[in-house]
Amino acid sequence: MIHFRLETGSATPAYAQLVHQVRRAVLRGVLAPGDRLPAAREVVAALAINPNTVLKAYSQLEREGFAYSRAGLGTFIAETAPAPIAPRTLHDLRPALRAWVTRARDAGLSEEAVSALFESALDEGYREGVA
Amino acid sequence: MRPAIETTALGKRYRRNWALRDCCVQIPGERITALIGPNGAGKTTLLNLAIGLLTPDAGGIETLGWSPQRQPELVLGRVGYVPQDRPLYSRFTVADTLHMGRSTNPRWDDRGARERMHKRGIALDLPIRRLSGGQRAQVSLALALGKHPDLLLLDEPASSLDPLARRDFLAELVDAVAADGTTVVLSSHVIADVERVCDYLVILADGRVQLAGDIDTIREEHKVIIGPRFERDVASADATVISAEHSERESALLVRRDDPAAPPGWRIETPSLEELVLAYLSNPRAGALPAPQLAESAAS
Amino acid sequence: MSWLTWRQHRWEAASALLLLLVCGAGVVALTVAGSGLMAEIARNCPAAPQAVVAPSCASLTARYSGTFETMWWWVVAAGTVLPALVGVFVGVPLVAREAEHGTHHLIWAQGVTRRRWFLSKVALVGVGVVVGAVALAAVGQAWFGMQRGLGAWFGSQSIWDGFEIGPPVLIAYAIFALSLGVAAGALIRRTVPAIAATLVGFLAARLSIAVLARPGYLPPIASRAGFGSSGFASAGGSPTSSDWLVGSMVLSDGSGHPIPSGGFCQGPDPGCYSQVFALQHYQPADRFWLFQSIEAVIFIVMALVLLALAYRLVMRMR
Repeated sequence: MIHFRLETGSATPAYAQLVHQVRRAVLRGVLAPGDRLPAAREVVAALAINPNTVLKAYSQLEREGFAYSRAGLGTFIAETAPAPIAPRTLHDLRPALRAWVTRARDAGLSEEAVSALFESALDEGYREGVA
Repeated sequence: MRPAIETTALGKRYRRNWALRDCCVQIPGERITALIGPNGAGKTTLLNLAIGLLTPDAGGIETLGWSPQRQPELVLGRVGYVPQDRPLYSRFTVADTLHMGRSTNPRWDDRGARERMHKRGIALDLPIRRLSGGQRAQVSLALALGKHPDLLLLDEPASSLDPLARRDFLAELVDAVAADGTTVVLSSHVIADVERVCDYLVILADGRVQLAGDIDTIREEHKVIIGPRFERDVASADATVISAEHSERESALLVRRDDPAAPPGWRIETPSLEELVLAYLSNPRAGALPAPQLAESAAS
Repeated sequence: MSWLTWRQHRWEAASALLLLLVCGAGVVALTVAGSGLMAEIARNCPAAPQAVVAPSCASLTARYSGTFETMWWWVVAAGTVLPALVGVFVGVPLVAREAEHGTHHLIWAQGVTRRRWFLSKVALVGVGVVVGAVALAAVGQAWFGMQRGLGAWFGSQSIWDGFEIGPPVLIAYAIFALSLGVAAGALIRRTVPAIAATLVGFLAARLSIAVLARPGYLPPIASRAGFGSSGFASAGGSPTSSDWLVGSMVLSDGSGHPIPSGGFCQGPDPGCYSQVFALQHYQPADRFWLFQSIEAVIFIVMALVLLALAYRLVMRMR
């Protein structure tokens, strides 16, 4: 079962944080199709957040095809959820990334600078050229 | 859907000063609304008017569609209130306090109230004056929730509570909302709590409504645009600029705008709720006017 | 509301009960002692009420003055003070304590409306006060009856002496004190100043009415006593020891004008003396209960006015 965390003061709204956490869990393979997400009331009790936030997050997940709900039973991860990152892809991409990080470190960049650089590249990469 | 609280040009005066003036707001039902504003902005006054502890000097207010002045039994039967400083009869025991709730409210869930106390580890035979601040807050909340209100009003409910007590209080509050769908309006100074728990926001400044709306929507509508420093006083020229801050090299404007594109050389960031609220509070003249298109970029 | 009112005022109720029990016990003790004294009087003193000449009577007189006359003043003082205490300990906290501690915001946000809260509380507490006052008055009357029996042997004891503890006025004083306390509490909203105001107001009202208004509820009867061979003798309608003398005796001439002391007749001149009369105003004993009713009504009307004021203040209170 997924354990939610909430970061207050962040630029990301609360419901979006919950959505991210579910997506990430699915992509990492922690949650598989058919797994039940915690009931809204449980999340509310654990995090002391607005029940609408949980409902909003779960609705969005449903819209995106990550989850579906059954009245009285709960919300479950859908079959249509994206598969976890294929180990093959991980296997291919990860070493290149590690190598790049090493290069950046050797060039004298701090961890923070590397992170900023990566984020800006990420931003550019996904913003432009979305074919 | 009928608003939980609706005011029409509402005004309230204390001697010479108007605590609320020409206040028009519709607070929606089935949400948890935050009332934010500096001290003296009229938050307590608004809540007291909504429950009928005060009567308006100008304009009108309706709570759940009823007039708190002319139909007090209806309002008081359906609205729970936790006043500022959470008063209780200090010589009563917890059981006495709940008994008072039972004997003065038409609808009362005694078992639910006792379970709440049990869940929080508060013994019923303890006198109120021996309870800690957090426990007293729980008792006040249980008293207000005991009548299963349709609307719950809280005036700075977490003030002077330690972090754990505050957390427990909010947890109890949202649990009740999750169970019953109670509409909540709470005034608060703690933006972190507001962010956690509230989904609708009303900012009061100087007795008037400065901003009101769904929190997620408000956050999407506001951006901080940061660019090289410029001299022109933009804040007063452009209605959608809420605040402007200048440092040696840069200027940062918090704006309310529709189109997200930034002029070249500028970047856009999303403000945190706290930044947003602070920007409004420090610029009382910035009002919740409908957002016109941003004039040509301020860099020109 | 009845549970809440009881719960908030139960200590006052208990103290009042205790006080009544103590007073009752005191009355019983005094009655026993009084009957003992009466028996001794029957044995030792001549039958006529004013013939206390026998030496054996002297010690009995001393005992009477020492104990019972002193006790008399204590009882009348209690009858005056106890209603004031009702106002202070029951009336004032009703509104003032709630306002002072902010609990009025708590209770007026419950399902009982402000109006019902006020009316129920005042009614319930009022009933308690009336019951207490009736009990106190009964105790007072029992004591007074015994006192009058004794007093008949030692001098006169007019029914008027017990005016302040007569049941109608005692109940009215208690209700008035309660209303005054409630109104003071609603106006001043802090317990200690409201208590001071209640005490001052109560004393002022009681004193001014007792001294200024009471003698004149009905025009007093004027008795004229002509000067006869053995001093003044009245021709009908003269006050007895059971009547209430209002004002002091005034010497006047035939048409009722006062005679200055220097103009009194000189020497034995029957013609002159026949023109001198002693004028004394009094209220006869048979008017006692009428006067009780009038004074009771006055205080109850004042109480109702104060309650109406308190109600308005409460309805507008922030």
